[in-house]
Amino acid sequence: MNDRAMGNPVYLKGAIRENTSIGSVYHRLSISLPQSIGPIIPGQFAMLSVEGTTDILLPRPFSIHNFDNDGEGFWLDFLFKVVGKGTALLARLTVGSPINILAPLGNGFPDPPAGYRAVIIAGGMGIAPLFPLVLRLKVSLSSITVLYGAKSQEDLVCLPELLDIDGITLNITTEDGTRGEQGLVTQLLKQEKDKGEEVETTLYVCGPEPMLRAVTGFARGQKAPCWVSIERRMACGVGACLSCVVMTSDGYKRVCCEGPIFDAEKIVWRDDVGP
Amino acid sequence: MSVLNVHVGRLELQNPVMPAAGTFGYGEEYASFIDLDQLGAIVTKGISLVPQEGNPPPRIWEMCGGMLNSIGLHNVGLEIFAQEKLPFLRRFKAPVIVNFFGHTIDEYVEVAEKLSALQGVAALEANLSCPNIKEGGIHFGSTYTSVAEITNLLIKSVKLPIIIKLSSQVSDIKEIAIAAEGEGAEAITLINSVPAMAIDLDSRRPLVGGVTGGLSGPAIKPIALKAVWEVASAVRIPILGVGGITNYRDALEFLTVGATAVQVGTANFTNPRTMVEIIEGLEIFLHDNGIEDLKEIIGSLKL
Repeated sequence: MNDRAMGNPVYLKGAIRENTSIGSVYHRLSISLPQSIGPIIPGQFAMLSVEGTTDILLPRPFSIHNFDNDGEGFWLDFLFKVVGKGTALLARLTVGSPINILAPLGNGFPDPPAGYRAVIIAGGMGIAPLFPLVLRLKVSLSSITVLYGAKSQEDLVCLPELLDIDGITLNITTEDGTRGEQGLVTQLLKQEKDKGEEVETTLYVCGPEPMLRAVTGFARGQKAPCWVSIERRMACGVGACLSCVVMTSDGYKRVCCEGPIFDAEKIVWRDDVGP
Repeated sequence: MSVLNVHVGRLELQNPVMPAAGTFGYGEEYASFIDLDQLGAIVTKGISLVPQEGNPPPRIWEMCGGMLNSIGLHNVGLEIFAQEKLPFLRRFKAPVIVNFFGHTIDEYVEVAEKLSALQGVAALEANLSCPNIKEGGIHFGSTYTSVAEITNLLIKSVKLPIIIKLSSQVSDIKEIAIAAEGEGAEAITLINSVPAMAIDLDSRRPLVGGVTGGLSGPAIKPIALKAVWEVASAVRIPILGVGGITNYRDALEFLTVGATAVQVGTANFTNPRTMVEIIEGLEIFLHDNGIEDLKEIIGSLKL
């Protein structure tokens, strides 16, 4: 896994370039950077913090959703849902406000083996790190299928961006049936399987832990390589505090350094997926 | 140019700022953000005889002004530390203070002996105060007798300076610090994270995997300051003050109540450059206030 270990993260002051609400609880935050960072690999994340607040102590980790790191401007995009004090604070930031960024952190998604097709499975906000993966794989892969599920239509925050990408297969589920097929995104996997297996598949998945677990089980049955993006609470983001560990077949691993992308086969899933 | 250097026992530090054990990994994690040679010292993650896996996740919870952790002294163990972590730290001129712990008194001594045989270790900091493991840690740091016994054995067994890291959560911190001093400790570190708890009312579950944890961050600064002040009035050996230090003014407060040097913990997570900014802040403060030597501030509290 270490061949995708992080390069050289930097700690920088950026500025809010755009902070748009999408529906009632979702936001797209775009941050302009004073310099190029990276290279950035889809699946990597950043720690964001705001100075001058005594309410929030620790930075918060967010997947890098989109980026321009070698064009005319340097910027990173994040998609997030307001779930607590930290995300509520970020949601209030106005354009031009300063923000501290530690990035790029963690490893990224590896490419599939030569000749494989990619099936990308996103549950809710799990689309955030998978969207830049779609953009990257599209350059070299002829077959990319995106299975995108959420609770309801308004939770499909990345749908307009995905619809803009030509040449991918996009299948949608919502739990309430307001868009696409009604049910869980994992049921689409079964249909993928029924399409026949002339081409080997690599799976990429991010979303709630029960979903990751279900996809891992499916991948095992198919003997398909499967890469999962794991989410954990973090303090440092650089491997020092050992807060963000996940149990693997090789013992506890740091999600911020050995992850957040793991070979699904190595994860020892918890029965209790508590807070 | 103002003088920032201080002496902690036999150690001469170019400035009084160093990380708190467990918040700075093995140093390498922060080497791309700061020049480790700018620090007064480097303090490692707590090392045990054999690797320790630590507590089940979730391991942290942020709360008002602080962070509750239940890491459980997860570390690579002595052998991997010696082979894979220490060689990197030897590249720096900043003295390396290795924090360590054992599950029994004999184990404390064994770890100390083995660490002291390694090249590039300047001092040992014995953790007698971790709130997150059942045996060892805080259990050994809570009575006069056990602190005296363990300090005595460590001093007899190794030649390196021994620093004893204590908890504030004891009946009489002065008495316990006197025990460490009496048996030859070269310095005392005060305080460790404060035993604490957080629960989720809706699920009625604890918010960290270890059920209880240790509170760190600005919330514990007043507790730490009081512990340092009390102990400074009772012992003559240097005190390393730690607890919620976020900026140079916090650091100066600890020096004012009697600390000789300070350790920075949780604030490293917020801003990996915190310690370097504190050192710069101290220089500017001394210059602006016409103070030539930082040592003039140590123990200068007016009552």
